[in-house]
Amino acid sequence: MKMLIVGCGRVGSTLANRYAKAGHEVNVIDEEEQAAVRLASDFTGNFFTGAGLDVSILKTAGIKDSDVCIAVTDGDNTNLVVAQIAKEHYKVPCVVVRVFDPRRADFYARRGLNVVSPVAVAVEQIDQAVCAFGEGEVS
Amino acid sequence: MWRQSGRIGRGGWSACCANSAEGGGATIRIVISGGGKVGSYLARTFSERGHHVVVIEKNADICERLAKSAPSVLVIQGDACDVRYQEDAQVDRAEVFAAVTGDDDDNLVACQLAKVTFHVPRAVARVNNPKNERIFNLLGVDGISSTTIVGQLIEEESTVGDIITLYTMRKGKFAIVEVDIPSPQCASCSKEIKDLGLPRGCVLVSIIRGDDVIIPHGDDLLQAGDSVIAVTSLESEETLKRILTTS
Repeated sequence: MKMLIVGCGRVGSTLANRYAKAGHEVNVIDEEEQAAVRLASDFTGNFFTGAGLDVSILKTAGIKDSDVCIAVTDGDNTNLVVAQIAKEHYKVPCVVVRVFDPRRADFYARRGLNVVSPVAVAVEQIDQAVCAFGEGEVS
Repeated sequence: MWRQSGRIGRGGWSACCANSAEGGGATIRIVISGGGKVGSYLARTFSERGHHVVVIEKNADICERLAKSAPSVLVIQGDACDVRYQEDAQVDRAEVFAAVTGDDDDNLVACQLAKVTFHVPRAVARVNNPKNERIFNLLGVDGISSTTIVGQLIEEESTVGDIITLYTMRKGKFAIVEVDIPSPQCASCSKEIKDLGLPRGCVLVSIIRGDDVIIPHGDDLLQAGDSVIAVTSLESEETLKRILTTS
């Protein structure tokens, strides 16, 4: 599959490394050229320096015929705008967007975006861990 | 008035602006995201005209400065992309929402929230990078790029020759123009208007001939010395000029 990952932080780079290793065609964009150091030395994909909102960079990085677009920069709003461009304009079949603010995550999930909310995920997992401990206490 | 955090109750707004609805014209409620140069200018202008103005701004110093310089403006410190602060600002009761921060992403998301969650009738975003104008329109947000507008105005001002822009509409996409017919040799002087082959998106509104103003019909002929007033789209302007003024 052809994948576009916007944001090459911890999450973005890990995904990029994983998918490239699995044999997918991976293109990564980050504002900071430095971010490329997070990619593995045998990373087979391409890295582009530029702002995620810059449509010309998105085009250069192949948004047009990507099967997957993942928006994981550190800015919720940048991610949301990139995801909407990918979904509405370029009709990318699979668009996933990370949104830290749970309210904004909710809002855009209701509007049909595939939203991952790290806050909600963390809360759920911590809650499960605590509940599991509670049950252990009881038995 | 400056709210650092917390909620203002229903009615808090009308209480703070109760005596500002003087003067002619209907009073509107406007919520502005961003209290920088553009935001504070907008806030003061609207507030001086007696409108109800609320500004949402992240930076505490800017909030304080704005609250001092425009006492009748309600300033809320917070993130306009956060539903809570839009609730505080009572965007649901506003006629206009304007996002004018220096960050295009923020402006776009704030406008989407205001439109979809709070059903504000008119949401306008400032577009800092003119490249983003298309994205905004694509995502259903009305974007205004000062760079584009200034560019167009300068282009219009520097237009020399026989076409003058009298008035622009829709951010310069349409214009009322005046075209002088330079000589009797012009092709437009020997053909009836309906046969001139005027492009779509363009209509002749009137002909000024000496002291007379003629509302043109398809079978009228133009004459040298006429001033023709036309409404035209930006795209058709060049064609209009060519048809009317070349022989």
